[in-house]
Amino acid sequence: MALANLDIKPALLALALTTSPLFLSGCGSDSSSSSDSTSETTSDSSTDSSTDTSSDTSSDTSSDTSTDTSSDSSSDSSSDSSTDSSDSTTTVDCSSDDYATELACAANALLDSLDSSQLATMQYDFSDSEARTVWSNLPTGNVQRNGVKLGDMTTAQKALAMNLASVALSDAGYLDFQGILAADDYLQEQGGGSDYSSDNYYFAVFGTPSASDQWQLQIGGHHLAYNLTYLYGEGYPVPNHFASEPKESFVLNSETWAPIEDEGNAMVAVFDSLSSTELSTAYLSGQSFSDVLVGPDNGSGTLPTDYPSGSDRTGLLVSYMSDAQQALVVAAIEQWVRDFPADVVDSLMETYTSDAAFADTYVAWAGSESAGVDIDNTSTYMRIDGPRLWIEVAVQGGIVIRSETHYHTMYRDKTMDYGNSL
Amino acid sequence: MATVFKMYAIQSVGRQLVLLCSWLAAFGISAVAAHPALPSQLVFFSPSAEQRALDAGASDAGALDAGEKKAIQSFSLTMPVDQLHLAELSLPVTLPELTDDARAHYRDYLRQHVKIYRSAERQQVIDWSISGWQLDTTLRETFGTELIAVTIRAVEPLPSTALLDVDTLVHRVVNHRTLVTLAYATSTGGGNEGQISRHDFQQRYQAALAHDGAASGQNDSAHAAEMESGWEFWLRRKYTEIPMAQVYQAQQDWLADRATSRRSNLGYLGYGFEHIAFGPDHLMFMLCLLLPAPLWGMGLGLSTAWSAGRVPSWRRWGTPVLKPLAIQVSCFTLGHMTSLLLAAAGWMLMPVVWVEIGVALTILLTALSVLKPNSKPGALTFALTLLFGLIHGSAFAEILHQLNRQGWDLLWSLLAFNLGVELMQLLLVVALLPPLLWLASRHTRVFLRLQTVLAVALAAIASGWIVQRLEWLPMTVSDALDRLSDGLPVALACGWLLLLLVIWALSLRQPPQLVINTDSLKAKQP
Repeated sequence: MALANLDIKPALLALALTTSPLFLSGCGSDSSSSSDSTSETTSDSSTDSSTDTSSDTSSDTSSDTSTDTSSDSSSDSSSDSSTDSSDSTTTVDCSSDDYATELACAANALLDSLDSSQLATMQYDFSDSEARTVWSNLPTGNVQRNGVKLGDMTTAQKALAMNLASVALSDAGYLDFQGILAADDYLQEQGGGSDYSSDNYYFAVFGTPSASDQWQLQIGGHHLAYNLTYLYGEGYPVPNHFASEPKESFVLNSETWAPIEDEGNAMVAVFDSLSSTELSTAYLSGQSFSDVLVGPDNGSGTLPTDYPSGSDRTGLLVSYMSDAQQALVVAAIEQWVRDFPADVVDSLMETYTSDAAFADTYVAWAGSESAGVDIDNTSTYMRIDGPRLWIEVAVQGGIVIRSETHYHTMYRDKTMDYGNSL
Repeated sequence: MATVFKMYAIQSVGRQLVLLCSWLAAFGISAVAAHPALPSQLVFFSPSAEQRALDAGASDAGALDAGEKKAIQSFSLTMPVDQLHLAELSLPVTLPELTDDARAHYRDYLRQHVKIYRSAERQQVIDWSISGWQLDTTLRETFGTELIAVTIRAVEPLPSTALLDVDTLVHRVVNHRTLVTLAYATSTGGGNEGQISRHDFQQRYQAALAHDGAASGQNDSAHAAEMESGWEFWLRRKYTEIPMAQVYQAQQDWLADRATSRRSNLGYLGYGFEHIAFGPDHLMFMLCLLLPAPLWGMGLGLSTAWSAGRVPSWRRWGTPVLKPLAIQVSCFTLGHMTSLLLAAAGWMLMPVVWVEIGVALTILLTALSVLKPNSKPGALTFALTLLFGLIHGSAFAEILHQLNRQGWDLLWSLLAFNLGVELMQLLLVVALLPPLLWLASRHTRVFLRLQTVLAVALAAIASGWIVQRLEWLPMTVSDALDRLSDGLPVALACGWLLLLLVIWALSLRQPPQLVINTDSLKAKQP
């Protein structure tokens, strides 16, 4: 749900999605060569609603990816004949009725494409809890990530990696993912330096991907950490950090992106719906936040213990809110949780939004009480704190684009981070 | 990261202020963003005496168990200024300069948030003061904030039962964290363990940042690895207590760890080497043994031989000088080795505190004996030297004890160590004896004066050590003495070179009279 901005031209959006496996390697050159063919695709998806557009085009993406890998040379992959030829020797068709099987297949396809030294770098033991908990919000120059980065992959491997991401994430989530990568290229374009690049996103696998075993997929880089743990087919997409500078939409190579705008807006909508009394109930008085509270695990090898408790755990109980307000809370939660496929998160959504859960779920905020929930103020902070669910948004000062703030966000499950399998 | 901000790097202070103001205008009151939200860092200073002992094999490291010297009394606390403002709105959001007002303000804040209790019951408080201030503005471009560092020094060494409660920042900035580490005090501040050099300050901070992001405890910087114990934990909102017992345990583990990792079996050879070469105790003792030796050969025709421009024959100086000296040095090593073996077997000859004092006493006695005329070595001297060796060995035994080495490993390392000691002593004799011999036989009066001056100086230093080790010396005098002792090896080396120069000059001035020139060239060679 990243693209609420209606200014975005459907053609551009579709272009970005259909060329997604190639998009990151060289968006500029590829897009010009393939724009003719993709404009036809766009005319099919004619609605203006961003939701519809993204789901339509994303289904295009997956079919496009599968045609890529099955060497059915489509018009837009002409610039990558080498990809096609190498793929043709390792035809991968992972489509399956069983999601867990399909995902494991996509992951194994990537692993199989690696040479031995790449494989040694990408694959870890599932029992390596320390490594499994290494991820960060910082640029990769500051904190070394696990695995192999996109920039070190061949075109074919990169296509398989992006395909894996598209299977591991929902359509909305995959769009957010691409947006965050684009944001890094944008930061570089804005003079941020070469540390910022969509090349610097890493893929790591813990254990052997299988629907009948335990394994974890980790994708991460600056402002991004997906930790997807699968226990015998059951998926847990947490902890999930994602963030973006800028927080609003930006244009890169005439594509418009806004990976985190919807998330922020959905969260703000919850607080905007509150009366002044409710707002002050939800205010975390005596607490300030310079960043998210339960941030990177730093290779601790254990689940975090920093969640608020006692008098720290306050806010406005969701069960006290009106139906309309609760709907806004659900919508906000979905912005994070629904970044992952329905097969994985349907049951989680049910758990997080049940009446019982809402009776113990607080929405809370911090920052300047007089200024209110102002996302242009650094140290404004919003969160949803349930018995299991933990979503927090911290407003940070601009780093490259100094005149604007940006978001850091976390989605965690207090008991089921890493599938509780560390 | 730094490259990112290069474009924002502002050269002049004036422009920096303009920029700052524009930021303030743009963002309102809590304007300046730190990214990433920097952690604080709390570094305990392990007293530098141990560092010297371990790094240089100096002063027999008996200080390790001398209680007082090992005790940690101070720590530094580094905090980002902008988040301090978040925590306490009356503190400034940015701090271009550390004014007295600002100090007073931060001091008040720290008074509320840094508590040292004598025990976990929190009944009694141990008072502290701020012994050092530092403001780092150089990271401003990178992190958007200055860092303020204070050195907090308790009024007394912290007992292992003590409990620190440090909730700076986290009492309000809920996500904030403070990295707690243990480091050797740097001696850049002239022995004041509270001093932080700018370099270390930044290095530590960068390390903290890296740790904040990554688990990989690997420190890239060799310097940092030398400095830091590797032990660390994070203070957070709900975890603000530091039991000193944990810190002392970490200190113990670290010392044992360093000693072991630095010295694999053969490495002990070098250790023995350094033990003599850089340990002021040993150097002084060896010097005391060497000083009277040249005179033992007096009256045996040495002087005549030198005057004749010939190297004196073995009969003239070997038997009267070298032989007893060799016996004496060997006695010392034998004693040394014996007490080490005994310690390895678990027998300590005497309490460590007394060993330290005993070592200083042996030096004092030996130095005094130099002043006594006609002190020819006999059985009594050898026996005494053996005893002194025993005492010196006991002092070192304590460090070996920390190594947790056992069986053959221990035996090998002991042998290697002693071989190193023996070799170094031999080298000292070879380097020092010939010029001393020459001086004694050619310029006896100069030599006698040198001997007296050195013996008195050594005796004075040894007396100083005794008083110091009895803990009767005030801190400042004690520090000065430590520095003096540390300078001894270098001073000795310089003295030796000077002696050679003097000899060279003297031999030029007094060409031998009764021989032809080629012989005189030969005479210069020793």
